[in-house]
Amino acid sequence: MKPFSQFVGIIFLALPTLGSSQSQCFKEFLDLGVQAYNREDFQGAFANFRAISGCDQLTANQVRQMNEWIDKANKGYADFMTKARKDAEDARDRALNALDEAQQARDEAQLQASISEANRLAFIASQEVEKGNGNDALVLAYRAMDLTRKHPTPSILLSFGNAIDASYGTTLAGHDQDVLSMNITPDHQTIITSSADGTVKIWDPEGALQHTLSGISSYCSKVILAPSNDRFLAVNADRKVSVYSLDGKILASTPTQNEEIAALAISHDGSTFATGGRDGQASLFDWQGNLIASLNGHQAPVNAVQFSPDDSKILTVSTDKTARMWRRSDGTFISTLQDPAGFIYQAAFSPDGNRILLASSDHFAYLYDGNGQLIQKLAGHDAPVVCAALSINHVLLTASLDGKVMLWDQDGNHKVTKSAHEQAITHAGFSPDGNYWFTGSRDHTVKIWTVEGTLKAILNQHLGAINDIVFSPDSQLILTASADHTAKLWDLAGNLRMNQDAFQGEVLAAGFTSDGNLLWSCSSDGGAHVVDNPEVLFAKLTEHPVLPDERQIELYHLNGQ
Amino acid sequence: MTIVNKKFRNGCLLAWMVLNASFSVFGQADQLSSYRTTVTARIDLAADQLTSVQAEVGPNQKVKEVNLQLVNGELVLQYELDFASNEDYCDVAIDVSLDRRPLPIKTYDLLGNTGTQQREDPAHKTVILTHLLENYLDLKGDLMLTINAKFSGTRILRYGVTCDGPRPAFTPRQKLPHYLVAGASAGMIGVAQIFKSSSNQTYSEYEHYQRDHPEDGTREAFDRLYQDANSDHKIYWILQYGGGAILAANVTWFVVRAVRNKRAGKEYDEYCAPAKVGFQPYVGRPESLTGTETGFSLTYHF
Repeated sequence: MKPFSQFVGIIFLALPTLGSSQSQCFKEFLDLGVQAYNREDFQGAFANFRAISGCDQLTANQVRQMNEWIDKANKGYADFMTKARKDAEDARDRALNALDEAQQARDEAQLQASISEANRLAFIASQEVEKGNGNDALVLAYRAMDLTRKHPTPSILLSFGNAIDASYGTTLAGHDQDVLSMNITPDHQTIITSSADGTVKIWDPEGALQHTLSGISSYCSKVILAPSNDRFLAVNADRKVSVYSLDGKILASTPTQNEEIAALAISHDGSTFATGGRDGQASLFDWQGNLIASLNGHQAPVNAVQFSPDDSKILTVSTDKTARMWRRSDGTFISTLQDPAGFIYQAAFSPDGNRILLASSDHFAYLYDGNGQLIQKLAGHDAPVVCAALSINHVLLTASLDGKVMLWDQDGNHKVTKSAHEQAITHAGFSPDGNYWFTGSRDHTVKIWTVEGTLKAILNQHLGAINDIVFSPDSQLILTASADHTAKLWDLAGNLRMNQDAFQGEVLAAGFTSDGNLLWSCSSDGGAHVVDNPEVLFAKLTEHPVLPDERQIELYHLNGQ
Repeated sequence: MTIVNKKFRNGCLLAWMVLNASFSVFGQADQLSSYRTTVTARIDLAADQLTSVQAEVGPNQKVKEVNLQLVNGELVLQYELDFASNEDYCDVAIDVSLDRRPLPIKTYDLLGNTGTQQREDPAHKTVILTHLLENYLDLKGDLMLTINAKFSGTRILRYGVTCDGPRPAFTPRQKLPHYLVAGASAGMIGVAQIFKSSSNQTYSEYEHYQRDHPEDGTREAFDRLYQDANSDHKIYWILQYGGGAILAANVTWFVVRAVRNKRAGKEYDEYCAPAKVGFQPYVGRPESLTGTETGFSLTYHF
């Protein structure tokens, strides 16, 4: 309406001038139009320029000028509107950005507040752990974890793990000497420990002693749970291997061997087991204790026995510096794994059974095919090679006492060399998914590496020798046992997730159950310990969004108790 | 008011220790002797090398024929025990160090003749240190094995005390003969003095009459005086030196018997007598009290 009224007003203003001077009419409207144009009043300029058309007797030149100015006014208006819209859009964008920043600032402030509150709760939880109030600690630590679900700090993660240990941890006390091995049935209902005190003890999930079996060898006190999970093997002090039921009854025994039994292994199909003796003889038995085959040939104690992944072959390793391959079906000798001139520290099958890797004290590793034929002598180490491992991704790892790790492909071609530690490497291996490998050293540190050889984390809080390192089945956590009387749980980022420090002696071994839900550790003080995996337990707890009473967190035990 | 102070507490603790110590003594056979024998060598386990093996066996050592070998990655220590006739068994423990630092060896990693070795067992002993490759990977340096041998058995008691009887002592009844003999010998010496005096007097008479008054007597009378003096002197001499000898022998025997009894009593105390715990009240000012404070303490003495 406004441009139209202006236009009408200008017409009325122009009417008195009609007849006075046509050229003056043109000039006045043109001047008014130009002035409005210069003020960027493009609508007023347009009206004045259009008003010129009302003047009489316009020359062609004046009409051309009028049209030119009308076009300029139109264009100027269009440009002005375009600029105005752009300015408006810019202003809108700035406003939106300011809004986003404000929201981010608010979120950040909320996050910081949550982290601060969570840290406070975690600190109190840690204090409650120190006081022995495990349940209170767990409630506080769980709230701290819940507050910072996406951004838990290391202290919060540790307090949650320690609270779980204080609340759910079960200590098995009863052995008089070193606890050397530990087995937990998949249903978590039975725990079996063996000790240098010459006993095997069977416990229930709450840590109550159910049975004690005496007369067990302290020289080889290894106890192995059968794949059927209803019986286990133990070596007796009288140089026999006995099959025990889970309630401690002897189901069968092998004949007495000539000398101490140094090695014991069960085939993957669970139908047979093999022993290695100090007299250099290995033997294959069925579960009734009947001798299937005697594997004679070694000239020194057989200190390791392994079944190939398909159970078709048996590999025996002796301190006579040889490894020997045998056919499982009838115990026939297949071949001597040739070449090693030094002691064999470690021998391992690849997961597919097509490769065998030996670590030797002669500074070499030896790669064989599944039939024991040498593929490659792996050179490059400058010290005894003490660790050999093969991943499911067909990557080979060798580690030596000079702190060096070398990666190879399955044909023995060198891929990567890493100076992993300044002191001797004592432990090395792959994660179950093959994406990571670890090294443990006499410098008391453990390092986690990607399969490409990039250092991912350094676990350096142990104060004593590393006795054991094991990955969780999902490859997300790593458990270490140390002579500093602690077992520690870590994640792949290097965060300490649990610190078990209640032992009075070295922690000799540690591990996870096959489902990864529990982790265990055993010590030279005669004690053993079982506790829930904090990662799994937190997931279980968060599956129940409404907790009627925080105290009932403790009811959500993984065992459903 | 009774204040049970530190002395009381320490006294009780000491009593407990003494009682325990005495009970433990009675609970086991006597340890008669102990020996430490070392064998040193240079080891490079990964290279399967053991060189410069040297055993330090002294002339009086009862751990003999010591030898050390590296066989199939295991250390094999050989030795022999030389039991005395009264030694029944020997407790053998092995300590290992590498480059002068103790090397912890688990008992279940030691096979063979450690622990209690009976006299009737074969003299040649073998100890195998196993699992070296698994436990240590690369033992390298100066190795030292120490054999600690403690021989035990029946102690031969020098003074023949029997723990069933009373504590040996030099009783007044045993001393009485010595006192009587001492008195008698003293008496002999006393009587000797009388005879000595008599002899001297008679001899003086003899000299007097012979020198100054030869006219007063006959030769026979002078000779009689002389013989009497001589006879008294002989008696004096016999009594004097006989009594002295008897007294000296008696004193010597007395001292010998006293020493023997004392040593027998000590032997009895060491091997037979139960620990004696006596309580003696002590009233005084406790050490813990200072200034003008006063009090009483009850202290037990052992």
